[in-house]
Amino acid sequence: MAAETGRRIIGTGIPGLDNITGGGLPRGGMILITGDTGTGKTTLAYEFLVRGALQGENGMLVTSNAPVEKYLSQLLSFSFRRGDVPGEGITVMPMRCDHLDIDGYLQIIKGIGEAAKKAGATRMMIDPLPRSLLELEESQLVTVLNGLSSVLYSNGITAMMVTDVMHHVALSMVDGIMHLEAEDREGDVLRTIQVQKMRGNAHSLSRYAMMLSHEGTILSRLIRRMME
Amino acid sequence: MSDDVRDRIRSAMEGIDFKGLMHVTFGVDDYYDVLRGIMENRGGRPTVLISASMPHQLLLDTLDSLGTDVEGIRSIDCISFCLLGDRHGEAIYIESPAVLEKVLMSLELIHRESGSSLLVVVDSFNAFRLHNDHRSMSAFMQILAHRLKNAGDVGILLSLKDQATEENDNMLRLLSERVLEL
Repeated sequence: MAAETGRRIIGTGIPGLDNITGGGLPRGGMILITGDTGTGKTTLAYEFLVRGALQGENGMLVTSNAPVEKYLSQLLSFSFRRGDVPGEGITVMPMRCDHLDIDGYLQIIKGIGEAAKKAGATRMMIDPLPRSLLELEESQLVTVLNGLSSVLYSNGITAMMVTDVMHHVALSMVDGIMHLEAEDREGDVLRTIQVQKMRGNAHSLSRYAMMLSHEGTILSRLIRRMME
Repeated sequence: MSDDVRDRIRSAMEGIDFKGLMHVTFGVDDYYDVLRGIMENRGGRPTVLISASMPHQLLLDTLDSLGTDVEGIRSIDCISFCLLGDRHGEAIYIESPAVLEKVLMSLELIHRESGSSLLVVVDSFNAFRLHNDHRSMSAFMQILAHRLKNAGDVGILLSLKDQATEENDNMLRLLSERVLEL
């Protein structure tokens, strides 16, 4: 069970993850989950919602993936969650964001805030952070992310935001960054995770091996080999 | 000779009063007797065989044909994947014995699934050493030994006599709760 370590931090409930984040995630914060396709970003963020729902913290899954039914059906099934999504503490909000401008995004953020309030959500997953958002002019992107940050913080919602785009504005504005990779070892590939930023936490900077399973994310120390 | 080996294994396993690693060294001719001795004395404890010496199914079939009950043994098979052999439901297949982190994480997965303490048999130090350098093996064994202790598991590390370097021997003595030389 995830421990609540004071008002400022929430435990994710994912075994091992809170150790490397320095205790958990900043409550009401925006946490960016970065990495290439297939590195496990969606599964990690989804487990964050599922673990929360298990302990009575409602979650909201915001996605621009379409069709949303197909996306939901392809999420990893965890042995510790019964029932479908949406349902049992997790609501789903499809997000249509093709060709949106800054006003469109500000409207969407307002809608997300209202829906999350109605659902009583304290955890959120945004998958993916829309590419068109990251293509806004920098000053507009700053405005939108500040707006999202305000909505999340004022409602006590901690959000994991999934992206494969390393945008310097987003990287500097978010409260935490977890970077996932697929490390190639002479043809054998190992997933890894590194906490690159977690505001206010004394977090690890080391990379850890990561395995995705129906029992949840499993982490291990990386084993270093001698230099050839 | 074979009864003697199995008796000594039985006696060592009856006396297990620790959590952590027991290192068993033996001559190559005693391989099956050592495994039979372990499997016959596991006393209902959920058992995991981490195999890097030979495909787990071949090993279990051989033990079965020798009259040893192998029911319910889970495996982490580090060898069949490279051979592209048949798959069996009770096993987790690792692509290569060189990706030691996957062995550790697969053990954690089995632990979460079973929800109880385990008997973990590592077959064998020599086989893993073929694919990994000393530094990797030291880190792997250190993590494994501490992980077994923390989880309340008992591990049995098999290794062939006279094939480990002095460096390996010293490391294993340091990490093992008990050493059994057959």
